[in-house]
Amino acid sequence: MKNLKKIFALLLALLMVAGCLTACGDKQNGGDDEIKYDENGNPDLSGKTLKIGYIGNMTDSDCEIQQNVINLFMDKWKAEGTLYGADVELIAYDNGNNGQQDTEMSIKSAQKLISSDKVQVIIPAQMSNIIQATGDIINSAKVLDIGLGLSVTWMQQGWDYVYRSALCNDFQIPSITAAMTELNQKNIALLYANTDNCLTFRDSLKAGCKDAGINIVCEEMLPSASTSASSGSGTGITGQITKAIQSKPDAIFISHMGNEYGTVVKQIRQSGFKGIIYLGQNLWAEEIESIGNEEVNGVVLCSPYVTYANVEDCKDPFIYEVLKAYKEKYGVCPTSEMVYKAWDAMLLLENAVLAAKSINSEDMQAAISSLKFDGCGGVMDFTTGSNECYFTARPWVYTGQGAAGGVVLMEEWLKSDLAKNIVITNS
Amino acid sequence: MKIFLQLLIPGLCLGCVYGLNGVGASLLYKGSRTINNAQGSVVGIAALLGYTLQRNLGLGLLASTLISTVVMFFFGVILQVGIVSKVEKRSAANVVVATLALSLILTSASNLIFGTIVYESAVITINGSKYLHIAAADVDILWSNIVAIGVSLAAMLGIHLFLNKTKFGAGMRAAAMDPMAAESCGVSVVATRAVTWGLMSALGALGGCLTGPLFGVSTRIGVATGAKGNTGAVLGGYGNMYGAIIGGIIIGLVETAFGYIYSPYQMAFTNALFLVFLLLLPRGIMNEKALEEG
Repeated sequence: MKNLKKIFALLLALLMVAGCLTACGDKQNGGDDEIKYDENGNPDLSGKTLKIGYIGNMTDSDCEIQQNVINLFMDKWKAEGTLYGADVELIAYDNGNNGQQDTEMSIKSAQKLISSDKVQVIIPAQMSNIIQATGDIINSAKVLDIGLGLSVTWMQQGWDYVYRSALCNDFQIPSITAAMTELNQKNIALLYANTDNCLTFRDSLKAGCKDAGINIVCEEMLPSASTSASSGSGTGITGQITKAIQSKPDAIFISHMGNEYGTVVKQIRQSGFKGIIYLGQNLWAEEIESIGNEEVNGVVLCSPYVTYANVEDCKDPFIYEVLKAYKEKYGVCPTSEMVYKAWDAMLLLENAVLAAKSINSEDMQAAISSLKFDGCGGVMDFTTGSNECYFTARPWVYTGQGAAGGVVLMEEWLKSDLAKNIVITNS
Repeated sequence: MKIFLQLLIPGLCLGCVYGLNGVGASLLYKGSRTINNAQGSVVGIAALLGYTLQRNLGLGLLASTLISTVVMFFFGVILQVGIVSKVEKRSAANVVVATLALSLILTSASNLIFGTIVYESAVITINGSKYLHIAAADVDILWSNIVAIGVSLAAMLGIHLFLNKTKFGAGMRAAAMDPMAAESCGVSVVATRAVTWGLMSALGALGGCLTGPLFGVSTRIGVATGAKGNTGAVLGGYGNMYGAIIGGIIIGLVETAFGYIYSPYQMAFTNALFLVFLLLLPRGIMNEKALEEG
């Protein structure tokens, strides 16, 4: 009787372990047991679900655009059966705390998405510190992680499952210094915020300027609403701006948080600076309006893409289709570059599933290294093994003529009369 | 001289806006021994309301500021009557938590409606120019700064006159000193408290609308001005409105100066100075005893 009990207990324990393993194996990584393949080797994934985890501030404008893009792709995939008939589900968690994204909440959300929701891919919004904080957990769980942030830091961790669908800040530097050199700008004032993204960008720019023989004549830190509860939208930065202008730079470079650029540019112009202002990121159309059309002339951005106030203003055929699709579904033209980053993230996911012929995250990860396809910023090339896809940027200038700042390529702007209103160099 | 003026005027302007919030916080503390954590959100909403009025109804800065200020006065009154008076019956601490919760709700709601971007506010121009040129120093100062300083000081003077020259103001002061005694003398403590909350909201709203032309309008505009207004109020002597004005101005000037002198430690130095002040002058510059009494 005693032995019978022991055998029964052992069998029960084995059954539980087997049950757990089966459950985990099948659900967590989109296991492909019982999958049928057609004569071309394409799987029939109907009945399977690709679960996309999302972590972001639910009341943030950028996060709203990201989720809209994810939903847009999901609807398309479902309608067209794109992912071999697999169903798609979005599980989104809020990491917002009084308008700011919270690291602790993000980590908890990532853990829940992995262990409870068993997602195959996580998109942790655009804040680099959040991607950095959640990266190790997601990577260790072998779940795909597509970050939209721009900092170099989180891509230096050697995480195999972490990818970026945007241009890393560091890759902007050559085009920024090339533009400065072309304009014969030798003295630059640098304004930066104290976030990981902005600090690494600052350091990379300083190194790039040094290599190009450009002097940093002034370096001032700006408080950011994203990092300090006591800092608001650009209040208390007069001292820094006055000092930067007093250093008589040829141009001012700003490395700040996405939606705080506009306020800083506005105050620099209000303080009387007539030269070129370089930005690390696109301005929202509303920010341009806030700065004023006349004042936005001469603001330079080195990026693979720019934003438009109206779909019709866009001359790039790929981006035109992106904006058109977004407007058709949501009724507005998105005026943040976040739409491109999210679009490219979803393109990466789509191509990974198609190439892997699976929704298993390990299969998708293995397939990504051979992917090369068109995205919003040109060719998204993942074949370098760096998990990055964009490597070059172009210099654009806001002219203040027309909607969304009337942005044009720098070469075009230099030929126009608008360039004459800007002091290109002080020397 | 040029640099001095370029730092002094914007610093003074910021200080005055902090002062407006500080005066509201001091009035509230003196009147009901509590603090309002939703003040920053009120400032942001007022600024966004002003922007909406300018954008959708084509109103100018003056009209939109006036309407926003009046609307937020009534918002403050309703807040006191509808929520604060109910939750404060058990403990004053409930008000602190309730206003904190309200702040999060208001910020999230305004983020949902307006997003987290910065909008344009009407700019103040006089004779077609945004700047006042001071020839002696060869410096251009934004009219927006000068108007913000002037309006803030005028509002503070108005509050001073209201409290000292009107019967209702005297009632408010009496209710602040001894509510029971004031009640027995015919002062409606319910009304004075509601007006105190209304005034606090209105002052914050005024500050929010005045900063719009300088920094643009966003939901976050009140985060700094609300928090620093409170800091200025403590510096000046919490509960003393004149101290709050002085404290706010000191914070604005010191912050601007440290931004110029050594920006990486701007916030650290400003707050360190605040701590030193608290250690050396625990009752603030005006030697206010309200905190101890509370």
